[in-house]
Amino acid sequence: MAAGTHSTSPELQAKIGRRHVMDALTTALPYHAERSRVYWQGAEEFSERDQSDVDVEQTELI
Amino acid sequence: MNTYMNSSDSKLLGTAETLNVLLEHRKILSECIREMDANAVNYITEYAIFQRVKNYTENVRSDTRKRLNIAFSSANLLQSHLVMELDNSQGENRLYFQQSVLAVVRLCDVSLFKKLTDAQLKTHLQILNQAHQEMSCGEYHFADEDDDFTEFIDNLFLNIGRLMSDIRQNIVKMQSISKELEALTAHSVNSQVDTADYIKAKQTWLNEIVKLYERHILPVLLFLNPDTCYQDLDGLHTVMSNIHKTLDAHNQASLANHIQSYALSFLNFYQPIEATANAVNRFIHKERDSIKRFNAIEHFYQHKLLTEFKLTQSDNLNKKLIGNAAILLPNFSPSIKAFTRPIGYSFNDSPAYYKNLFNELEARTLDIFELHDLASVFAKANINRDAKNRMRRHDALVKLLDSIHLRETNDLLNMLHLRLEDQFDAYQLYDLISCIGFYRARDPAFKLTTTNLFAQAEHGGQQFRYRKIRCVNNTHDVNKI
Repeated sequence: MAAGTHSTSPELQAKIGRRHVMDALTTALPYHAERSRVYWQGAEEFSERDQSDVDVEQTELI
Repeated sequence: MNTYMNSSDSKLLGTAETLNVLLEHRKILSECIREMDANAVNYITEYAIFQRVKNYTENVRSDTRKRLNIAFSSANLLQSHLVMELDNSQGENRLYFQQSVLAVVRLCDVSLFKKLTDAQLKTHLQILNQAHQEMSCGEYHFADEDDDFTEFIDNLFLNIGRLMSDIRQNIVKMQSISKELEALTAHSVNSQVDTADYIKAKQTWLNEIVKLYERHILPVLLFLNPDTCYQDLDGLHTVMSNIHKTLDAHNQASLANHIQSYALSFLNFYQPIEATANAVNRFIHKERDSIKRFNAIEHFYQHKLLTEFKLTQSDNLNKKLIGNAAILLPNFSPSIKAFTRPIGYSFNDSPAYYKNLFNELEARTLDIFELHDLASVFAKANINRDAKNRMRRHDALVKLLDSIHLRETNDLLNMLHLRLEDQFDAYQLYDLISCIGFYRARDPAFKLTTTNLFAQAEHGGQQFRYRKIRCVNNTHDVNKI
């Protein structure tokens, strides 16, 4: 597990494999009434192609 | 004569009934006995009883109050033989209670047990010694028919029994010592007190505890110790064993066994008292230590630090910081508390450090000349071009992205993926992450919205499962608004 800023190298992110974005905002408009933080569960993932579908399902569950 | 008898009727109670009332409401008599002990007299004044009864009956039912008033009236106490004598020759009415009545009340209240002082112990010991002398000088015939002998033996056992009960009460008292210590310290712990009061209070406890230890615990311990010898008297255990031997020699086996068992019981008392004594001793030492420490710190603060601080409050504007004179003077702190501090790395500018460093360098240079091999002294040089290569690759990517034109799409990454796969030789899937950052910062004409829908891209044996990003041209959106 690692935590990084947006300047963290994408290469490193690919090596770690799972990418969660923690600081997303609901709207890009500054001072908007609905502007608040949002976090979506479920990571963006890098994985090897030869991984079986079962494995993908397992990692999804985690 | 009886100030409070006038209000109630003159009916009196019997001995058993009066004693019953006395014991049922023994708080009254307990307080009287405590006062009597404090004044070191053997009588209780009528007025003291009257006042206690009055306070006690303030919040009780009226019939109970009436009963108490009758029971505690002097006439009733005298009539029921609980009081031996009423003496009004000294101006106040003094009630001399029966010793047995006082003993019963003392039995009910642990705090009323008389402490066995050194003098009392000596008296007990003298009685036993005297008894042994009488036995061995041939005054008695050691026969059950001899009335003198039976009386003497009864008296002997009475004395031993009394001594036994005294010591037992003392043990109970000592076992409740922790409660007493707590009561002593409670005040200064609970309330907010300033330092002077705290020191005073602490000194008071210490004095009381030391007194308790030296005047009450130690003598009893000494008295029960089988190895103790007194100047002109035999110790308790020596006397007991002597009496045992004399009785045994005169064919009084059962009496001898009785004495033996008493001696064993006395020996048994020794251990619990010793444990208490050890605990109290430790407490005293600890308290003394802490008072010493506290005094040292307080002295430093009051006499050194405060005087230094007052110097800074003068009109002289040059003197606004506390000087270090106070800190250098006293020599108390090293012995108070020693704890190890972390040792830092010795990178510093002291002459010793530089000397050490240069010695090491000199030695290594000499090594080089002797070994003719520089490589063994200095490590091998190495160039790592990875970082530079990454930088070049990123520059190439940025150049390419600059030339790519975006269009409105539901899946920006898929579009970029397809284009980069064709146009960028060193393309890796993770470049897509760089692309988003690039466009977010660079291209305000398109609005990028991350959605919670997943899509997948594949390249070179790797998969990237990503959230779709919607790309909308926001120039006409702005116009609309």
